[in-house]
Amino acid sequence: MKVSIAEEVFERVEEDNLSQAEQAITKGMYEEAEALGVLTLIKAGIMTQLNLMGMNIWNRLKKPVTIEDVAKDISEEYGVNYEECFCDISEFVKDLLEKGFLKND
Amino acid sequence: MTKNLFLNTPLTINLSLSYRCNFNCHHCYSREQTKETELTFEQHKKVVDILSQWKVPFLNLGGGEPLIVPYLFDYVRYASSKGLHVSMNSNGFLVDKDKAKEIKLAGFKSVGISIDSPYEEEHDSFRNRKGSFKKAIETLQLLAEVDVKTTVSMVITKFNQHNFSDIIPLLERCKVKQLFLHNYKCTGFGYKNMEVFDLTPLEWKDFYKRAIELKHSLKDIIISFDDPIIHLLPEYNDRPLVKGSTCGKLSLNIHANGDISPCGFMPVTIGNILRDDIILLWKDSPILNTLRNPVPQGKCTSCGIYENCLGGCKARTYMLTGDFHNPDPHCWKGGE
Repeated sequence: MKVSIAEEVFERVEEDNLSQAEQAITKGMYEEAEALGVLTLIKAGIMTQLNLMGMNIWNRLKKPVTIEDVAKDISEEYGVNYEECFCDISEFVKDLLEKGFLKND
Repeated sequence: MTKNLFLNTPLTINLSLSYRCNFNCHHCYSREQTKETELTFEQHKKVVDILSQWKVPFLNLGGGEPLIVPYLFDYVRYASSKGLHVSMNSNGFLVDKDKAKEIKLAGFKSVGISIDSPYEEEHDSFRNRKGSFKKAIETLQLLAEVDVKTTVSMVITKFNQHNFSDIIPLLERCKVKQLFLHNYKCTGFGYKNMEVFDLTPLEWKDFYKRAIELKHSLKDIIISFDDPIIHLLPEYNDRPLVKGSTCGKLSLNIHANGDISPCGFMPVTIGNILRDDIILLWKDSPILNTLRNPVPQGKCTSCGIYENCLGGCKARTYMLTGDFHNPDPHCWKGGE
């Protein structure tokens, strides 16, 4: 499955939140990091925020890749089960497709 | 991986370069602020530098009539060069063919024109200016010709609450893509004249029901609202960016003298853009934190859908009751 960033999506990195999330990761406080929105996305009056992992995936989707490719890379990078990773990323992508931030290719 | 919203800085700044205006409308929130000192062009450029440094993406100019400001286009060019998406709200009276081209070239992303009735006589009377309706329509057409995105703002009053939907064919003809139906603001002249213009809570309920029905029936024109109490209606299914008022959560207002308030309709100052550290204000202002953490009072304490509206419009509530936490005086719950 291939998706890409939709047109006219505005994005802003929340610098303070990002640095807090990065600090939390280095201290092994993964839940705290996960709870922080670090990238704000806006399109046509709809807004959402992504955490560090969400931003990581979002940035990968800027290049022509499949969801399978992203899941493979992330599962290898973080040493997690591929199927589980694929399911989580598919849910994430589905949500962003519904909100209009991503489009099907 | 998607999170609840927390912004390090505002997304939108509503800014007045000046409160001077060529109109004298019966509901104007800012007419009495014309005596305020105004920042100079150089100072306003400094404000842009600060906003750009914060990475504020959206700057909406109001006032006063922005087109009265002699340096408007230089200012917009400067703000655009710093990465800001600039829009403005105007009565449209000062736009001719050349001005429309200048608006396009300056870099405006969109222009909102105020039209308060589908009918010429009613609009001219409300805006207190003969010919203002025809001119507003002409401006929409001129802006469409130079490919500037336009929206229309309509303030809902006793006089247009039943005929507001008649404006749709006109908007279609003028290629307007979005209609903002604003709740009546009880600030400035709006406060003084509220007995004449403001709707009763049950009239608001009835209006919103009809407006939502219209919204759902349209394909090419988006209808938007700025009143948190609309979330009391189950038929309203838009997902809000934030619950309750957006003021102080997504946006701030900067006055012509640089004073900052949570919203333009709230006579409360939290600091000054050229004097104070805006990032500290955004994070720590006691007033902003009060607005972000409302405490239900009165009938809100027993309302099952308080979480949907968080007490309604804080500017109106503050103006009419003196306490941000009180129930919104426009709320119809308990009066049905």
